[in-house]
Amino acid sequence: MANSSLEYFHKHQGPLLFGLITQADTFPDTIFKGMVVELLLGSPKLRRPEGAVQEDILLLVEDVASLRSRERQWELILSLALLEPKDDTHYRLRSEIPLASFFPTEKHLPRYLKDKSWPVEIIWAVLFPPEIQPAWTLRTIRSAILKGYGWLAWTFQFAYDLSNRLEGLPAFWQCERTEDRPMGFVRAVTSMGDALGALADSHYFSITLKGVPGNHGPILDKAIDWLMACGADQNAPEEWNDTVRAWNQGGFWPYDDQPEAAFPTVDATWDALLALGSVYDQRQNLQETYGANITLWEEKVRQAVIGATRFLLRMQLPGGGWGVYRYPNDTPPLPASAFSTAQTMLALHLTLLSNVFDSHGDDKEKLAEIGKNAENALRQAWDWILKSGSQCDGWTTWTPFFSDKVADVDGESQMRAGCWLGVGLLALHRRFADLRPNISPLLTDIVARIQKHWQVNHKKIAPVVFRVPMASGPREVAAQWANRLDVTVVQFLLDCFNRTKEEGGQDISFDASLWNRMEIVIGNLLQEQHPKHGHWNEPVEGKPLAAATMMAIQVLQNYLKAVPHLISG
Amino acid sequence: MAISNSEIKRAARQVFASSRGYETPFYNRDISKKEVADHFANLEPWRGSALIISAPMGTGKTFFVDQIKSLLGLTEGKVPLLVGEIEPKTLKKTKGDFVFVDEGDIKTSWKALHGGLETLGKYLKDTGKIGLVLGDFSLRNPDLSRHLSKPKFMNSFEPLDEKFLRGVLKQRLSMYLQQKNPPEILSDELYNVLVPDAYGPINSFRSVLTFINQLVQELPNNDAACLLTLPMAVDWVKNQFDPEIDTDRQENFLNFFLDYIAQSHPRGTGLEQGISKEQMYLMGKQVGYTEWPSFQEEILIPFGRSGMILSRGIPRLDEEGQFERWPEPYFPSHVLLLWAET
Repeated sequence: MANSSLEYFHKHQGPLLFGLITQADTFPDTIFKGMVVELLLGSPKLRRPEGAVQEDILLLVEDVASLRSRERQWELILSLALLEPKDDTHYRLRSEIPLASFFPTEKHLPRYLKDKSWPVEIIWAVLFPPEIQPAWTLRTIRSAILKGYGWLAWTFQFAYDLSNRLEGLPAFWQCERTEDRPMGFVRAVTSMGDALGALADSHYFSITLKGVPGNHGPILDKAIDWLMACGADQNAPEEWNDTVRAWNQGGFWPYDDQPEAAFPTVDATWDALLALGSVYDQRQNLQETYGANITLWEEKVRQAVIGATRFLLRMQLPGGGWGVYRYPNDTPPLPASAFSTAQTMLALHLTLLSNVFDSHGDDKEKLAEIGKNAENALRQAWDWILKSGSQCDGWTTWTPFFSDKVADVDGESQMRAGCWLGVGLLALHRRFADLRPNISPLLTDIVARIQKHWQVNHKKIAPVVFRVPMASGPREVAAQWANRLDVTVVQFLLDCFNRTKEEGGQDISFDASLWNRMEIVIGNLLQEQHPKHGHWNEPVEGKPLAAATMMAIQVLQNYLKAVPHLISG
Repeated sequence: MAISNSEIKRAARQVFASSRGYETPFYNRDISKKEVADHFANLEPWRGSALIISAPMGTGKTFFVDQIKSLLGLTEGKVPLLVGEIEPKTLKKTKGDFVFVDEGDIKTSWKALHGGLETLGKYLKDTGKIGLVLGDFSLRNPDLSRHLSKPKFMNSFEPLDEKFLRGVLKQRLSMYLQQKNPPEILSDELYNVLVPDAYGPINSFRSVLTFINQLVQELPNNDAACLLTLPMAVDWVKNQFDPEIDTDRQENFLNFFLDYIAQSHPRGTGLEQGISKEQMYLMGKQVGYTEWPSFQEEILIPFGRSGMILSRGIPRLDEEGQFERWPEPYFPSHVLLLWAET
């Protein structure tokens, strides 16, 4: 009897515990106590041996206290039986709670439970169980990738249907139960660039549009048109004179990504270049598979890619890096950043791989020269990265803004800068076989720093800070984009692993603990994806975002690519 | 050109943003920026000392400092230390000329405020670094500020008055709805209640923008021209606002207080000096409070904590040694002003 009763007790421990702990006279008090349990159990202060004073405990719960007096709050807190006095003024969490604490007399308790106690850690685990990682398979990952592409394609379709009111995709979406809705009316170049670039490369464009035969082509044509319409040449302000026009020629406006920019920015331009380069490369496929009308845009896209490349070459700072913009004669000067530098390097490298610069009639010599200049720019960027690295803890390291001193920047920021620059270094690794012996040690250093310092935390962000170029100089107001730090790290690591396996050079391997951490991130990504819509969210606001979706897809794809290497390794 | 309800609903996130999650344009604060620039044109006189920005929570202090980091030579990614968590070892890790500290406010216990500022003051003196300390009016209490060597208070932190709010909304509507000269989306009457002239520095950006956003969510999704009016706001408060009253006496006091506002200070008029502690207690007596401590415990503290009454006083230790976080003078929040509308 006693055994079966104990079994019964253990089976129903969760609801019983919650009921006993939060028992209260009124509905609002029960809710209040439920919230307080979580706050008390989660408070590091109350777990310290010295405990906390009453004032601190009341401060801890005051956001959920509504209009209760402090006396009433305290009465309800003590009735939870979770705290014990340490001395006259301090309280701490009890290590375990006898069941008898919840009942006025022993008579209220069955005999077999009279001496029973609950350790506080068990209470924590029963009431607030840790998030369990789903068991995932390669099939789950493939399905998540497809859903992600599906969402990107859907955003274009949605905007296409509203094209009398929208001039492209906005930065953010509002996730609603049935579907998502665009937030705001201002277009954002990254939304269009990221979605279009990913889709052009993926062959997945028709996923959600299968039931709409004949629509794929016009939607694609429209999407390309929207992105091209963000070019600075089409939207130059009237007050620009010829010199200003010439300086900004070929650049792209960021619009809602960097809303107050008075000039096209490097960040908007590398993003557009990545997308348009892919579109140009895949143009035959886009025509044959989806019915895009390439005669409408083929030449325009080619010219836009050339223009954007020339703009980025013009924007390269004298040292060899890139910032958000470069003013003529560097007046005023703007600092180079690791993020803009690496992404520009990647865009230039991929553009050089495309067939934009292939022989093209009368343009042949001009194109060859631009291609050569782009190669030179990449080599200058390499010199800059090499020169700007500092030694710290035995590793070469960088800061998010090259102008900052390593001593002024914390380890996590250095790691973040390393991940960003790693993307640029991998582009160089692929492009210049002669540099590989020098690049590999730097990649090894970045990986070593990650290996030692990176702790998985899904909530942590990797902010990209920038000051947009205003007419009079950089805006005093700094702004930032937020990506997940974990995703930024894993994106680099997987890219690094795959590239070095494929391209040779020094073998960069990761130890088991690093793979474990990476796989936790893969699990978190799978869990974060909206199960029906397929999008991933921007980490601060929690709103669906094309960039976050594209990054998540890339990480998952790179993981799938890494698996065969792991197996064969 | 009019802005439709559906347009404003869709752009609400940007137009009424009050968190760091979205890059909103920086409006005004020119005088504050100039003051900071003038102060720190020469750092030497500041060595070992601190500049204090003391204004109520939600008025944009952290946003302001976040935006002027270049003036201070702070690295872009620098995040502030919190007063309640200051320890010598965390201070030692700070880099550069400035030590940036936030949350010197009533969300921190008196003891932690004391301890944190004392540790900070010593560290600044020893190292010659300069403190930039943000917090509410608690920092104006000499018992706290004395821990910092010769601190100076920022004089010119522009309050959120009607002109400021109109300017902010105009700038954001113009940017996010791409209209050169956007029409008003709030009636004049509503402006008067949301940011009463008499309130000065205690109007909170966060609460006003959050409230407007809540009103916008109630608009129908149609093409009618958007205009948020006083009756709409009153209707929202009366139907949707639930203060979760805990006792009958609180409910009686609230009703009495609302009648008092309606009769004596409709829409916040005549409240330049605020309401004194005695006046509040007299109202408390009318609904059955016979002792000050119970009135303070059941009314002043919970109403202050929930933001239903605002305080312009300097937080301090009272005679009993308790941290008085919402001292007189008092002001009814805009929600209560709307609720009191008949």
